Amino acid sequence: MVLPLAHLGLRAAGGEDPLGQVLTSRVLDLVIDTLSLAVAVTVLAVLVGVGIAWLVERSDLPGRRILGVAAALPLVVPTYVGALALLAAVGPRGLAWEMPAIIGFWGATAALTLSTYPYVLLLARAVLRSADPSLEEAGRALGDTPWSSFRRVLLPGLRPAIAAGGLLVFLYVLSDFGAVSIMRFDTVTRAIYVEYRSSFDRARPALLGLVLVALTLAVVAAELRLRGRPAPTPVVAGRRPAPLTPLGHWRWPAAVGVGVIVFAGIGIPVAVLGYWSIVGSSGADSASVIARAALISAQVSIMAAVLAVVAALPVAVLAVRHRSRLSRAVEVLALSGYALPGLVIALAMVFFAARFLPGLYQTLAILVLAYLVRFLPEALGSVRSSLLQVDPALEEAGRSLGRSRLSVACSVTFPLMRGGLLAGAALVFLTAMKELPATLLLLPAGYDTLAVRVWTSASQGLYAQAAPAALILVAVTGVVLWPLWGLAGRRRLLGAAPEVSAA
Amino acid sequence: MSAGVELRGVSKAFGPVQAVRDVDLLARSGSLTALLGPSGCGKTTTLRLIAGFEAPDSGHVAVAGQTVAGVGVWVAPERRRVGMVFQHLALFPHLDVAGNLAYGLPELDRRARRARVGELLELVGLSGYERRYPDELSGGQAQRVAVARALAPRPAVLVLDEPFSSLDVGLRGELRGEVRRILAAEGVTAVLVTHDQEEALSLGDEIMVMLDGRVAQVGTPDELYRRPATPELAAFLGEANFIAGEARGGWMETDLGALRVDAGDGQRLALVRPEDLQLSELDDGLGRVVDVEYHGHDQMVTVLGPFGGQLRVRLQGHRRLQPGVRVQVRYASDEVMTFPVSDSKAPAQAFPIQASSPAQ
Repeated sequence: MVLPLAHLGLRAAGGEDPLGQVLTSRVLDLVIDTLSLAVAVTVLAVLVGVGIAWLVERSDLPGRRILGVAAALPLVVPTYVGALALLAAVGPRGLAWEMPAIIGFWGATAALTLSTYPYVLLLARAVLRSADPSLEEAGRALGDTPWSSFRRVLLPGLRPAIAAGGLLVFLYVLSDFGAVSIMRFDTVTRAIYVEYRSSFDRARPALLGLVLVALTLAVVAAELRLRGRPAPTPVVAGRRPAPLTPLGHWRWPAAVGVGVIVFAGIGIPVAVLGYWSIVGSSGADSASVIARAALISAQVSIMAAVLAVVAALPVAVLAVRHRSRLSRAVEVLALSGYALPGLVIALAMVFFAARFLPGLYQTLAILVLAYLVRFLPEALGSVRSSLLQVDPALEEAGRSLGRSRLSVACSVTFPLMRGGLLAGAALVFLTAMKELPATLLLLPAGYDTLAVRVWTSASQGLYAQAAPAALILVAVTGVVLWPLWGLAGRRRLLGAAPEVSAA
Repeated sequence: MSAGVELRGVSKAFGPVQAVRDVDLLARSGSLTALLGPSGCGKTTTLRLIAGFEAPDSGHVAVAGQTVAGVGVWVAPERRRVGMVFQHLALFPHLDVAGNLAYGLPELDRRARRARVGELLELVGLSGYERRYPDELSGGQAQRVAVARALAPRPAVLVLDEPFSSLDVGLRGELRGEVRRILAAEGVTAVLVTHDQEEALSLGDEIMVMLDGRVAQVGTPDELYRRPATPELAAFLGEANFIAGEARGGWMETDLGALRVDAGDGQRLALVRPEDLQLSELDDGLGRVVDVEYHGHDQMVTVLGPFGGQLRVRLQGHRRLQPGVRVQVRYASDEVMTFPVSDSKAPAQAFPIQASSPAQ
């Protein structure tokens, strides 16, 4: 993983006058546009996410239970599908009505906000649920109004969730390729792809890739600096449910507002895709083309899922059971894939493989490898936390009963981690199914996945043609994610299924 | 006499913390040794050194006559034939009772394994519970399964880490007797860690008291209770009154009158257990009751003596006394055990009586 990246650096430096190329006005414009988009989406996603979280958890919003469940659903819609549906429904020459602003910057902002606010929502909700209501009551007893108690008591408690969610959203936007492409808004990722496809000069995309990595690292570093002291863990024992704040006149307008956002996030994509799939069009993909793409999607995603969990196991065991500086370093290295945009990983893989591993170039194996690097952190997250929940005394009990370390791992530790292993594999499977930019770059000629099928049709303006594949993608995601959500609530049975929110 | 467990000069540090210092332990084969001490005294570390979950920094450990840890020797926990009952039991939650009991019997064939499981369940009185899962057992049942599981592979030594600490008080007493019977039936050498002195006194054939990583005293329960090595240990094992005074010619003058002592002349500190005192209500008694802890079967009465010191008296089979009543207190045994005053390290509140105090 380190090697391909280093190679990417060398490639970039190998071009003519690398620094001069970075500092062109075009690159600067790209960076500014990318950052503006990321900032806009992050601010909106935090506002929407925290707002909805508070409304469904702490206010008397009508239908708050149903809205609460529905508000997390846009997670199952890949950004490019959301963008596509939004554009088709209300963009220029839209199906329903026309909002010409839904293209370019504002189109990308809308599409990305709708598909990323659930991350903030889920994190904020978890905090609101576990926060001790007597803290707020203490604030009220000391003279706070509901608003000032929200600001002075709840908000500081929410800050870590907002920071984590905001970072997630920001990185997501930096690495997004599908939505910006469909909205025809130029960001660094889109420029990398265009450069890579349109010229034989390998130095330019490599250079842009490094620019993206630098942006990402700067953001992560800034977040680490600003994070500061972690908030003390809220007291959970003997909790009562928090009292609901009455909204008064605002009850119904608030419900309608949340409803509109949720509808835009999940309703529009499903409706648009459903409409086209039923109405069909002359240019629609034949069932066999879609089935073939679905098969390839499933095949590479399952391989990536299994490999990621298998690779995460030893890292997690090292990190949890044998704490040391070395194990910490291994863990950080494994987690770093999270911050690297998929496109950059793919680019690094392409260059590296073309040069040193020609046997891998243009095979599915290299795609699976890229998925592994990119998604190992997700698998590691749930494998690690499920291992944390296995009492080390159980392993010692096994050994005191005469079984070797390996035998105990297979008969005690792994069976108890079953839930977490499954959840980790399912998460990787889902994200790999939806993954677009790395897949576009690494998929061997003559192969198609569902994601690539959707994007290819959509980028040519053939929305109707893209619909069936997109609908299958959304359906598969929903079907796999649904039980995961259930698992998260039933820890006792299945060890742990956390980090679902980071899907 | 053969040694079930032997530790010689064993030390173990965790970073800067010296958990166990130069500990010697000898547990006779088939006996039950209780390691007693406050939390953080190193008793659990000692247990884990025997079981093989910690390696000693120095010294050596032997199980059933075979060295398992020492210079150049290391036997893995699974090959030590040391069974362990864990503090929170650590029953495998994904296996039923039969699965838990059979876990340590992989080399037996099906029939032999089933026979051993049945035998163990009978031993602990849980026949018919084979298919239950750990979360379907009561605390006492889970406890018995944990003991049976540890005994399944017929270990040479069984170590138990605070095995009763998670049970409520009533159940604890019942299970103590039960475990004692089970261990005797299997004839296994056992080492038990506890911070509960009552548990150590009632279960142990031998008790080893640990304080601050060191062995403070070893002996039978009776020796430890009757002849503690220091005032500190006397206070740790049960309730104690200490009375300072000067011994002369085999006698010591105190609030309680003249006591016959076991030592020569000089300043001494006498150990008087509350149950060795007798109390009678007397209108012109020199003592006055200031506090009563009523337990039903007995009561612990605090008496203020004529010179301002206090005595704790255990009074049995008597109606509840009221504070303010005047009483007469008498020492009921013939000889009293004393400590030299110089090495007494007991905390100040353990010296309630200043019998020779002339002031007032």
